[in-house]
Amino acid sequence: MSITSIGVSALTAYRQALDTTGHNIANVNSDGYSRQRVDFTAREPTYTGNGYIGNGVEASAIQRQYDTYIASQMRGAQALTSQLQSYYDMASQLDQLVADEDLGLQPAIQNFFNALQELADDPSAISSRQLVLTEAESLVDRFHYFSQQFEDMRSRLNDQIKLNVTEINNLAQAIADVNASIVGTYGAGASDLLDKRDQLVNELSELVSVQVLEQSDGAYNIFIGKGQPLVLGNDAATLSTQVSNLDARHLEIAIDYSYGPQMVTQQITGGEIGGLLKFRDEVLYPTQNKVGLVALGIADQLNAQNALGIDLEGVTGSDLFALGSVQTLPDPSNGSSITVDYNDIGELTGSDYQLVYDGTDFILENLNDGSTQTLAVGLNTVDGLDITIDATGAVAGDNFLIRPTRNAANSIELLVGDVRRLAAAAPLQAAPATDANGNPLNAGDATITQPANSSMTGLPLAADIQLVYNAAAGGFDIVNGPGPPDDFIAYDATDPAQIAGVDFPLSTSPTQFDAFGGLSFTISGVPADGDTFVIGNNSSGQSDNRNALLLADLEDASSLLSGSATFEDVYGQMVSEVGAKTHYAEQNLAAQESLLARTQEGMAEVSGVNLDEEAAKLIQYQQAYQASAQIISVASTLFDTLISAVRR
Amino acid sequence: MDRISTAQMYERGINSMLERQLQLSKTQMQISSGKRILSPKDDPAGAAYALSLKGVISQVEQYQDNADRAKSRLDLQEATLAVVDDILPRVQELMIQGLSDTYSAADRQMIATELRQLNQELMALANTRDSNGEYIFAGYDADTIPFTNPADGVFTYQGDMGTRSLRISATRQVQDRENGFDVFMNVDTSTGTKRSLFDTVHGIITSLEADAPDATYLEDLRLAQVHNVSVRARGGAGINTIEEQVMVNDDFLLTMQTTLSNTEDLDMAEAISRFELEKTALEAAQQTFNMVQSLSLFNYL
Repeated sequence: MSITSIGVSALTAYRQALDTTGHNIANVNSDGYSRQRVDFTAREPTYTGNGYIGNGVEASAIQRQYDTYIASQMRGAQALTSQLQSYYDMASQLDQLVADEDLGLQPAIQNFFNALQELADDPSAISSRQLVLTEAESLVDRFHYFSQQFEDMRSRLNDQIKLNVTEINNLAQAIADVNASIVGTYGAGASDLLDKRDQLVNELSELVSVQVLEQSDGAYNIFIGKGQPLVLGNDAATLSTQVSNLDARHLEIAIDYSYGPQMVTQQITGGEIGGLLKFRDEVLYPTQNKVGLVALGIADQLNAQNALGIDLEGVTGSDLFALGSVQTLPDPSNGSSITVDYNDIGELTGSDYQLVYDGTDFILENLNDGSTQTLAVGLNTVDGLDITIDATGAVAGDNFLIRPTRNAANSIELLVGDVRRLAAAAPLQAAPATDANGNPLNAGDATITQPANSSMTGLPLAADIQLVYNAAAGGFDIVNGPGPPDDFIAYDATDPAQIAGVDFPLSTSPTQFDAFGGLSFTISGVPADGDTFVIGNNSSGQSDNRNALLLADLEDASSLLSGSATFEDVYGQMVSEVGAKTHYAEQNLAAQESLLARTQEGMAEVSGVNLDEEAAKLIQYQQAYQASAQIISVASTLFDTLISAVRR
Repeated sequence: MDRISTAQMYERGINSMLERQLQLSKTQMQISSGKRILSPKDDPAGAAYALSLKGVISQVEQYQDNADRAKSRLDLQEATLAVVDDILPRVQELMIQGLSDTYSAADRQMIATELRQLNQELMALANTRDSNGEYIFAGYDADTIPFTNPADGVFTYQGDMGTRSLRISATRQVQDRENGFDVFMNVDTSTGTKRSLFDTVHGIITSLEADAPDATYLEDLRLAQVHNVSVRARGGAGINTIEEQVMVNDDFLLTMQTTLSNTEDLDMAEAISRFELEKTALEAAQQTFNMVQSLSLFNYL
C-alpha cells in the first residue's frame, strides 16, 4: 500500500459522504425520506516488520436512520386520526343540519302546533284552517328534506367507501411490488426503497388500521381488521364492496380470496374507512331512526285525535297524515317469512332489530342495545310491533332485518287538502232540556259540561241520550243510553261536595259509556225533579274548538318512548346526541392529532433531515476531501523528489 | 441527542399559525353571529336546552296571542252586556211609570211602544256579531243568527249550549264566550221557573197594552238584572284571569328569554378580549416563524 492509495481511499470515502449529504439536503422536503449517514472505518492495516501500517479509510456503510417502533406508533396514531377526522367530517354535517334555525325540524313542529292553537282560537275561519294545512305541509316537507339529507349522506358515504377500497387496493398492490424489489435487492442500497414502502404503508394507515410484520427476507406482511391478510410478500389481496343481502343501499366490505369473498365490514377499524363505518352505525342510522320516530308519532297521534272529532261538515275526521309501514328486509335465501306491523307507536324504541332463526328458535336482537329474546311462531308483540312469524320452510340462518322507523320521515304525507276536513269540533253536545223555541224547561240550577269522547264507538248517536233527574232515586235515569244496570247515575243533590261537580262516568264504573263514544261529562248544581239533560250529536258546531284544543294539546303530551317523551323531547334528545357525538369526535380528534404530531416529531427526530446539520457535514467532508487531495499532492511531490534524487 | 428536522420546524410553525387562525375565525364567527353555540357540538346539552327553550317561548307567545283573542272577545261581550245593563233600568223606569195610577191607557200604549223598541234593541244586542262575523251569543253555532222573533211574543233561541275555551297557559284555559241560552233564555223569575229576558219584557208590554200592568214583573226585571250582572261578573272574572295570566306569561317569557340568552348568546366582552388575545397569538406565531426560518448555517457558507 502507498500514500497514494490512502489518499485515494479518503477521496472516495469523502466523495461518497458528500454525495450522501447532498442526497439528504436534496430530500429535505420529501415525505417519508429517512436521512442517511455514512459510517467511516479504517481499512485493514498491512503488517510490516515494524508493525501495522494503516491503509486509509473506507465508507463502510450508508446507514438509514429509522426507528421501527416509532414508525409503528405513528401508523397507529395516523389510523386513529384519520378515523376521527372522517367521522367528524360527516358528523359535523349532521350537526349543522339538526339544530338549524331555518332548516331544523323543531321550528316546523312548533309552527304546526301554533297553527293548531290558531285553529282553536277561530275554528270557523277558513284562514286559520288554511294555516294548519300550510304548516302541516311544510312540516311534511321538512321531514322529507331531512330524509333526503340522510339519503344523500348515505350516498356520499357509499361513494367514499368505494373510493377508499380502490385506494386500499392500489396501495396494497404497490406495497407488494416494492416488497418484490426489496427482497431482490435487500441490503444497504435499498434505503430509498424502504422509505418508499414505509411511506406507502403510512398512506394505507390513513385509510384503514394495519398491522405490519416484517419477514426475515425483508418483505412486509400486512394485515387489516382482526388478522385478515392484505399483503403477503409479493401478493396483494383485493378488497371489494358488496351490496348487503338485506339492504341494497347498505354497502359491506369483503376481501376476495381465491376461495371466495370474506365479509370484513365488522372487523375493519381505523382509518378513513373505519370512521365512515362507525359514523354510519353510530350516528347516521340512529339519527334517521329518531327523526322517523318523531314523524311516526306526530302522524299517529294527530290522526287518532282528528278521528275523534268532526269536521266543518259534521263528518268524522279522517287521517291527516299517511304513515309508512315497518321496513322489513328478508334475506333472499330465507325459507320462513314474517310480517311486521305497528301495534302501538308510543311503545316504539327507535331501534332496529334483527330476527334470526338458529334452527330451533327465532331470536330477535335489538341492534341498539344488543339485547335478545326468543319469539314464538305466530303473533308476537314486542316494543310496539306486531311480529307475525310464518315458520313454514324455516331453515337455520333465516335472517330478517326490521327497521320500524327508518323510512318514516320519508313516508309521511299530508292526506288532507280540504280545509273543511280538519276536525276542530267534538261529536257530541250536551244541553239542558228546552222547548222547540229554545225556552228552558228545567226548573233547577244544575248544569252539565260539554261532553268529551274517547272513541267513536256508537257515534253518531242513534237517538239523543237523556239524563232525567229522579229525586226519589237520588240520581239521573238514563234514557236511550246504556242498558241496565248502567242506565242510572247516582247524584246526591244534598251533598255540597257533589253539588260542586261530579265527573261521569264514575271511577267505579269507568266503562259505563264505552258503547257511546266513551263519553264523559261533569254535572254540578241542584237539579229539580224531572230536570233533563240531553246529550246529542253536534250538528252545528262550526265554532266548536274542543277537538282543536285537544289536537293542539298533543304538543305537550308525552306520547312517545312509552309515555316518557313528547315529540320535541325526542327531537331534542337526538340533537343533543348528534351534538355530543360530534363534540366527542372533535375533542378526540384534537387529542389524537397532537399525539400524531408527537410521534411524527419523534420520527423526524430520528429520520428527518436538518439543514444546519447537513451544512456542517458538508463543510466537514469538504475539508476532509481537500485534505485528502493534499495527500495525493504530497505523494506526487515525494515521487518527484525521489525521481530527481536518482536522476544523474 | 435531541434533534429536529428542518421540515418539522417549518411544519410546526405552519401548524401553530393554522391552529391560531382556526381559533380566530371561530371567535370571529361567534362575534358576528352573537352566538356562543354555533352548532350543537359546541355545547350539546346547551343546544338541546336552547332548542326546548325556543319551543317553550314560541308556545307561550302563542298563548299570549290566544289570550289577546280571548280578551278582545270578552271585552266585546262585556261591552254588549253593559248596554243591556243600561237598558234594563230604563225598562224598569217605564214599568214603574206604567204602574202609576196617573197614567191613562193611551199613555200605557205609548210606554208599551217604547218598550217594544227596547226589546228589539235587547234582541239586537243578543245577536251581536264580532269582527269575524260570528254571533257571539250562539254557542258553537256561531254562523247562524241565534235569536229570532218569528211572531209577536214568540222568541226563539236557535244557537246551542256550547261554551268555548281558549288555552292561555300550559295549565289554564279560559272561556272566551257564553252561549245565548245561559245569558238571555235561562233567567230566573219570581215564580221560580225560568224564562227568557225577551219574554219578560214582552210580558210587561202586553200587560201595559191590556191596560193592566202587572207589578210582579218588577221582581222578574230585578232578577233579570241580577242575572245579567252575574253573567258580566263571569266575563269580568275571565278578563281578570287573562290579564293576570298575560302578566305571568310575560314574566315567564322574560325569564325564558334571559335563560335562552345565557345559554346560547355570547359574552361579547369576553369574546372580544379573547379575539384580541388570539390575534396577538397569531401575530406572535407569524413573527417567530419569520425569525426562525431566516436562521440557517447556509447563510454563512
